[in-house]
Amino acid sequence: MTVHTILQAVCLFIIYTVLTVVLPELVFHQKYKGRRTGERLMLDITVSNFYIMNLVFILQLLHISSIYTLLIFTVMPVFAVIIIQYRKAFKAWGIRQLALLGKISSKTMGIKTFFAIVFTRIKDILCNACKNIFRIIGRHKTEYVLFTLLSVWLLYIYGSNEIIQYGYTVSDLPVHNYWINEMSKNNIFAAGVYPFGFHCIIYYIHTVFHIDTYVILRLFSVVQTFYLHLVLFTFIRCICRSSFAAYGGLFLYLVPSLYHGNCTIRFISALPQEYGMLFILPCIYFLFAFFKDMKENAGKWIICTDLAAACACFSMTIAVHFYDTMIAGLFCAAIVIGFCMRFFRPRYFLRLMGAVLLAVVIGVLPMFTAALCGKPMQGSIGWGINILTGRSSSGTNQNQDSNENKANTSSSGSSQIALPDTTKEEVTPEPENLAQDIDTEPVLTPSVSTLEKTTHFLQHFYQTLSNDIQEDIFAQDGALFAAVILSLCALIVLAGIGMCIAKQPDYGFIQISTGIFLLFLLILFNAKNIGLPQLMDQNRSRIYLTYMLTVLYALVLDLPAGIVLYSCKKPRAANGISLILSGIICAAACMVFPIRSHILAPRVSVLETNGAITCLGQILSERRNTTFTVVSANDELQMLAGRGQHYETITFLRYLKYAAQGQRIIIPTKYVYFYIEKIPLDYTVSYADSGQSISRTGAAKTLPSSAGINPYKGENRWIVMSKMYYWAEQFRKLFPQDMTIYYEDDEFICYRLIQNESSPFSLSIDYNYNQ
Amino acid sequence: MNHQMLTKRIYFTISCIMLLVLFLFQGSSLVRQKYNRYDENIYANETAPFDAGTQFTVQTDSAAVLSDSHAFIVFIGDTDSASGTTIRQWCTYTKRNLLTYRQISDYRTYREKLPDAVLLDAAFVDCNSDLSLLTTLTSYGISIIWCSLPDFNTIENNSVLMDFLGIANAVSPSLTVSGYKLYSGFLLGGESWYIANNEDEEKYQDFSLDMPWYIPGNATKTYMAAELDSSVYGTIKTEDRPAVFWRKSLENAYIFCVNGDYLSDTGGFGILNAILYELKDYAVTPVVNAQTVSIINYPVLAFEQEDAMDAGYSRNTASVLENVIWPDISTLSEYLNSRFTFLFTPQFHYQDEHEPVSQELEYFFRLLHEKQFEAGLSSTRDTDTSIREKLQKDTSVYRTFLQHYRFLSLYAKESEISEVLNGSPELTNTLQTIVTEKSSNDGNCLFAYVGNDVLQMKLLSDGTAYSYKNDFIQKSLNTALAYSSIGVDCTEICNPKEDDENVLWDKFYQKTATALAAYLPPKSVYQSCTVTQAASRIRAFLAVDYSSMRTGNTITLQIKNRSEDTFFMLRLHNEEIKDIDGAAAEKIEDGAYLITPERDTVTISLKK
Repeated sequence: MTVHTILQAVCLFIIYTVLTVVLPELVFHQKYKGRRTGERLMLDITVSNFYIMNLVFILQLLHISSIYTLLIFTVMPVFAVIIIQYRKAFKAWGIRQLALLGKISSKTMGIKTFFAIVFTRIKDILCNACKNIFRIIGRHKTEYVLFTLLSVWLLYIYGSNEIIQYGYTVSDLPVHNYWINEMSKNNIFAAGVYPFGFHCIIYYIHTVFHIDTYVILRLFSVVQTFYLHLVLFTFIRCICRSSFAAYGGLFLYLVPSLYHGNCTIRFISALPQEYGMLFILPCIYFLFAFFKDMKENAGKWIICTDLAAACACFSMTIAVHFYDTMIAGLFCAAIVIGFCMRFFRPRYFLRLMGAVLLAVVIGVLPMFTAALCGKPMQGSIGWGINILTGRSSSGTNQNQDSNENKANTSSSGSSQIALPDTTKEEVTPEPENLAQDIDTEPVLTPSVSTLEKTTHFLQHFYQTLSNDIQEDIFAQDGALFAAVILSLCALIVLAGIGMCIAKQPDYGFIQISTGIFLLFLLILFNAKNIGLPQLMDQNRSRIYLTYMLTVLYALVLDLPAGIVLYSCKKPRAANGISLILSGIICAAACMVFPIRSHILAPRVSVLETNGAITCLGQILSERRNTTFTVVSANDELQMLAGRGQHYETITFLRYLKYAAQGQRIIIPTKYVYFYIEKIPLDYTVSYADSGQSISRTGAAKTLPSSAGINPYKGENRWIVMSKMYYWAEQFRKLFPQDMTIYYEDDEFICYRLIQNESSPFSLSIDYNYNQ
Repeated sequence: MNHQMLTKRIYFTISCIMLLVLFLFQGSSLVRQKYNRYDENIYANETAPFDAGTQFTVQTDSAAVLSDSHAFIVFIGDTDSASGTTIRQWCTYTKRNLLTYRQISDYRTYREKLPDAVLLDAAFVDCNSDLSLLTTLTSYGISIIWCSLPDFNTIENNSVLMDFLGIANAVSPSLTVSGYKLYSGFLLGGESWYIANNEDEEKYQDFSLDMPWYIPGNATKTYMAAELDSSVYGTIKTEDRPAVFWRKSLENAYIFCVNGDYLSDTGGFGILNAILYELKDYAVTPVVNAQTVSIINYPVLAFEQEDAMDAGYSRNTASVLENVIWPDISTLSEYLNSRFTFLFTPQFHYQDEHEPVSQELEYFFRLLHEKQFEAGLSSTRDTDTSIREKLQKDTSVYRTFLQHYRFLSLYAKESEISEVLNGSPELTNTLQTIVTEKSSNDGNCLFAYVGNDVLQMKLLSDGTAYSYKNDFIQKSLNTALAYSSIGVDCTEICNPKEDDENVLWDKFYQKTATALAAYLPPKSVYQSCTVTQAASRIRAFLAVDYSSMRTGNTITLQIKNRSEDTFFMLRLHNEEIKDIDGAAAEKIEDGAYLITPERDTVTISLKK
């Protein structure tokens, strides 16, 4: 299974790369002339994601989405553009081939000579390609080595979880799985209007490449996280003056254990918020590029492309996750301040306002259309609107949780799926509590001057920020870390001002914008402590904060190189200084902080055993659709959608309670698989005896009566699995030829019942623990 | 005009081509005729070296059974009853010993050696007093098979018995069902619906449609159930249909119930085999592996009913036999991939002036030889002629025109067997098999030795009319023995009465083709044989003895008296053969294999 998982992940990586890099590069190869590699990469990712998302949105809203329409609207434009762009080359090639064929037909050339020419040309093309690749690699040898090492490290820390724990590790995923499954029925926004950009991408890969949705959701995180860091790297590489600051920044983010583990744990799962982060930095970069190109009058096409790409990225943040839009919006606000000298000029202002308006319209349009068609708002949209209108300041999203229940269980329920570790128990700051918090501080009297008020506020801000940073981000010394971050922000803003004075305004404005943006992020992170509405849960904002701090580190590491370049204009020297400084800082960080290890989801948040996933893969490969049923806790419900039937364990056990009264349970498929965890998972709720094996003691306990997925959590799961195990064993004793063990490992066992569909078994038996 | 003459060279070429074409058309016929040794029976040397002395004998003495290494069953009932004779015969065929008691309390040796099962005739069970002993037996791991059920009132008023039988609800003492559904996995041949959906199909329905209605409860498995008319009973859930065969699972044993007299005829063999298979994780039994079709009294060599033939077909007898009937029979045999045996009489009426025509004899024997069919004798004759006279006359006919043909099989009535054996020595000395009609008082015997070396084979199905019951019996026999013996009696066709217009070949053929196509699926694994080939396999089957043992995923089969005509059937539950040593295995259907042993020890490896 490990090898299979790795191969599947590699396959997904190749598919995503082809879709988002290779195809756009083929199509827009000529249009990208003059742009840096990093820019091209960001453009590729932007264009492809924007196209796929909106294509799926349009086809879904028209209810004509299928593999055929998706393929037609993917392949046809690609071919059309390629043919139009390369028509001259194609024509010339065709003429050459016709000439060769003419020679063959007139017998002035033999077949052998013809094939020799063809092979020679192919060989030349391959040799030239190899030479070019080696030349490029040779020219940036150090960079490629560093890049490869960082990539391997990245895959190690974020990819290990996928090959150690096969199942979902975040409770959101069954919900997303459900929504994507519904898209296969052309039922987008199944649970109401919601940002579906991420779902569109997964749905597209699932439909076009026939990969099961659950496999993509299990493994896409590796691809997503790799690209997320690639974009971070590319962004830094593009805005920095030196070559090595980006490596330094990324190294500090990836290698030493600077931050609390929960700041990055969500990267081991394929989640919309993290996927949406992919578009924040490209959006910002293209805005930077717009200001630069406008200033330099780089040409209408380039300026338009910059603006369009920024606009597309911003719209995609709306389409994927509103938190990403918030962060992108904060950065844009910082840019407004950083680039204020240019922003308010009409030629910039009007274009930018137009672009923002267009981005919002494009981003919101699919959701708005769906709403017009009568789709209700999904719960979290209402919550978001309440936040924005100030009617609620809660950081948690109860509505999404209720949807998780819908996706997780086939029966109705109102329980909540907690995000283990990745989300911490959030205490909603009630106005009274907030007032109390403030009241605990010295009471401000009217006689206190404004300066003192400000000082007091800053002290309060710093104090609470330090506390929260220590608690949530930087485990060792929050106050120091807060001071360092604030200092670096100040440093980079001052450096930016310096650069502006030194007539390096583009670089300076970027530094100022970044510094201010980081300050904004800190305020967002600390909002609840300073009386501002908490737009984002700290659990989420710290992910953005740590991610964006990498940009700050890189800009700081780039500062000496910028000064050197300004003073002596020697790029090599600047790169050397950057490399040395980055090396020293990174080495120091590695000495001071421990090295990060691969991230594993804690046991409490593991939602499925490896055996269950292995078993599911085997069943799906062996059985024809709809000929089998899986009786399991809940997660397989969505994983099997469209392939097999699912029956919930708790429903099954509840019917078994009435076996003595003649209650029958009939599952009318030829094959029925029973999933039982021998060591039940905690399923987000740990309890005193977590990790214990199923036992007769557990089976003898009363069946949990709670609704939704609560019977599968914590101790309840142990009771449910214990009862299920003893039922299965008893049934196997009664029907040994029909009920067999299909799969077994230390933690999990799967029984398979083969029955005649025309005369199915009544599964209701007395197994001594029916009550 | 310039007339170009045909040159000699072109003339020569055209002539050569014409000769070549002529040779191609006629040559093959000439060669076939020249080398057609129709006066030899190609199956004459295919007899297995077994006789009555080599067949397995069922032990019935308690001491002998307990000391014998063979498996055994216990039957509570009367072995002379219909189901009793079936059980006795089944024991012979499956090489099991049999202990019979009149009441269950007489059976006391269950602690010494466990039987494969205890079979109960409900008439010999006291449902109040015997139930505790039956429960004791099940606690020892002995499965109980109810060959028939107690009457409805007894069951309905005894909740303990109901629970023991696995009945959740005794609904009605008698109801008329519309048909039956036999579910796949019990008898071989897959799922079958014996339900007449329209008037045309009603003629096939010969099952008894009246039965008591019991609904099996939890922990049961139903193998066959009745279908109810929805217009009368409304929509009935699958699990609520009147059950025919079902099994109640206990922790150590099973209770099988047969709701009806299904064990009273030859269909009982397959049911018992299937039940024994359901009891264990595998079942291996010797089988015959022969499917025979006997065409009785076709052709006829004397043209005795020319007027009737002319009235029916506007043709003479020779033309009807050769140009109307033979092409259909030939095509049918090819479709079924079957080798027919023709058991016919040269003439029906020995007292008239019509004598067998030698040309007809040669014509048909040539055809039979070409198609690899076998010819045999028939005792059919007019009432004024004795068997001895008939056989002597036939002998003179055959010896005149077919000097070397050895007739190995003969069709006769069961009452005529001794007369046949004492008939013409010249013919009967070579006789190995007598094919007889199935009679009602033969104790469900399918085949038996009559004398030391002559085997009696019974025709088990009528090939001229398809019926649901026959189809069920055919499935059952295939499950138990991989055997069928179908007779198509053409006497009325070849010896028609002048005023009977209903017996015409086209209708007869339509019914025959329907029946044979249903009973003998064309792509069946079971081998189609002539009577002589089948007899040889039956001799081998009766003689063979075996034992089998399973260790983990390996089954070892030890065979005694093996010959090349010995076959076994292996049935597995959701397992497949991974590898086999000492035999060849051919898949019949999921979980069923035909084993052809090549050595006395066969090792079979299984995979899940």
